[in-house]
Amino acid sequence: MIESNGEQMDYQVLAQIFEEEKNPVEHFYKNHNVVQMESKMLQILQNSHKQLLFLIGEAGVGKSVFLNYFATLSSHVDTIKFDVPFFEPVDFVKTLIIKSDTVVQGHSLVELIEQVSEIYSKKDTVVIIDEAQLLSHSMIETIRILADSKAFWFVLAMHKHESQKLLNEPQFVSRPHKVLEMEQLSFDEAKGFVQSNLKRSDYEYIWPLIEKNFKILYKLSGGNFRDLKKLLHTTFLLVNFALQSGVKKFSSIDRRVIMMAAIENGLIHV
Amino acid sequence: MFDLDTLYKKYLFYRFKKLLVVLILVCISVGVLYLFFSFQEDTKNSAPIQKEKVKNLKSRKKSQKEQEQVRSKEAKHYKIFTLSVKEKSRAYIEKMKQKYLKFGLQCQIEDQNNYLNLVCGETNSYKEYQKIKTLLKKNHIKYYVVIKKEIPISDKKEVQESTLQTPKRAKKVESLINKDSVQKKETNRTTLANIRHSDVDVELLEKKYSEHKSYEIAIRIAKEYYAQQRYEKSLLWAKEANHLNRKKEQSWILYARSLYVLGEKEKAIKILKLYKHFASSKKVERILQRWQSNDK
Repeated sequence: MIESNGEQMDYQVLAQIFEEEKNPVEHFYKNHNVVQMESKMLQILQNSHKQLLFLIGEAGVGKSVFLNYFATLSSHVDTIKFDVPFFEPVDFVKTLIIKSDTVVQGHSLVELIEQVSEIYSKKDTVVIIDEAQLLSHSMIETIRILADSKAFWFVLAMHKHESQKLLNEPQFVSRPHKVLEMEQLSFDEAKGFVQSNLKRSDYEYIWPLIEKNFKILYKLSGGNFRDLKKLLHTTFLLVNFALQSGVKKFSSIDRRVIMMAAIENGLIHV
Repeated sequence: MFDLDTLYKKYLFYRFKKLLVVLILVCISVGVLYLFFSFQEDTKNSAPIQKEKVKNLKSRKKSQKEQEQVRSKEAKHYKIFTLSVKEKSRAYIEKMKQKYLKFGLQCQIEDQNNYLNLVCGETNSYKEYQKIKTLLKKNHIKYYVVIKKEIPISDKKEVQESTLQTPKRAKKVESLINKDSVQKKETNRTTLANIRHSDVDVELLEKKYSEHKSYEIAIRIAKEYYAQQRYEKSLLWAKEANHLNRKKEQSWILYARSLYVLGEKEKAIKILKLYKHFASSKKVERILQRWQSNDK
């Protein structure tokens, strides 16, 4: 524990601020890209017919967090969100029927699809599937059939580099769909994100300490939410560890310590 | 929790790697620059040698050309003209013929399309031509030479060279014309003035003047006529130029000189004196002094 500006500073607590949160929606940082994405999606839901939406972006860019936030936001439509797509088509359709508080009738996939289409065709429901790049071929075919029935909106979130293969499949190319891309944070947005996190935990006063080295932090993280948080988390833990071990050399945040944290996180490959 | 030593070593190794990359890049850049400048220096050094080669080549070509000229000198026909006047000035040309005879020049009067030309030599020998030339120069007589290449009749091409030589100026025009056009020329452009004019085509100038009247063109035409010893024409054009710009001395001088040569000396002096009243000109004063001293 050290003192800064007359207040005590605990690097352990600071590290926890930038730890991966279980439910980050509460502290969701709405950058320019997110605001744009939100308005685009709401516009599509209001004005267009039911179709497939693909949310693409690099890993750690904030797709999952955005989808969690969006699920809470879209009040005029019902949302059903699947975080892990490891299931069989029959289970998937059954889950959808159960979510509508209806008893599952029939056993074959064809019967189930007919039932689920009938139930949801009268409603406005958005089915959100995160990590859609992991979907099996049979699941993709089922989603395609359900999308054709015009019973659901489907939002499939996936990594950008893995999305091309799926998007180029003939069944998706020929069908109406929209592709929305989430981008990395800009330098100022990344600054705003860190500041807002510090402010939330009443540690805003250490911002000048971070700002001094923010260029290297941004460069190493590449504007990626997850990498930036991970880098700050590890940096604070490193400084805390150095303080506890009595290694004065690494007891403050500087370029050297940040780069060591980046090596530890695998952002720099040595 | 963290192995700080290992992390630090990795950090140092990473920095070293980056530094190494930068050093390699710097070395490559320096190498490339060195090669570039050394190449430039080499080209600079080799440039004089190349120049020397070019010079040698040029001098070789020049000497070859000279040799060719010498060889071709013997195979040419030289016709030397000294004067060209209108038929009404026959007395003048006769007088000049007698005068040139005193200098040892045997001249003949040739009649061509209302013009009389005084031919003071016609020869195929280059040596003889040189002799006449020396004589003319010695007596400050202006002359024009028409050089024709001696080519067999079967060969349709003929080379005609005409030169205008004054003590200060010597110009050459070379043209390749076929036999038919030579004959045509002889009928249409038989006057000496037409044959001998240098690279300046007076007809072209006159045509140009008819399209666009300007002092510069008029004075140029007057000068050309004066140089061709066609003083009446020169007189007219000097007057024309003077109409366009009365302030410029050249038209006054040329007008007066033409008059002087045509024998109207008093009028010429009077004109220059008139000009002196409203403009001071050292040139005019010099001419006046010379003329007045000649009269005395």
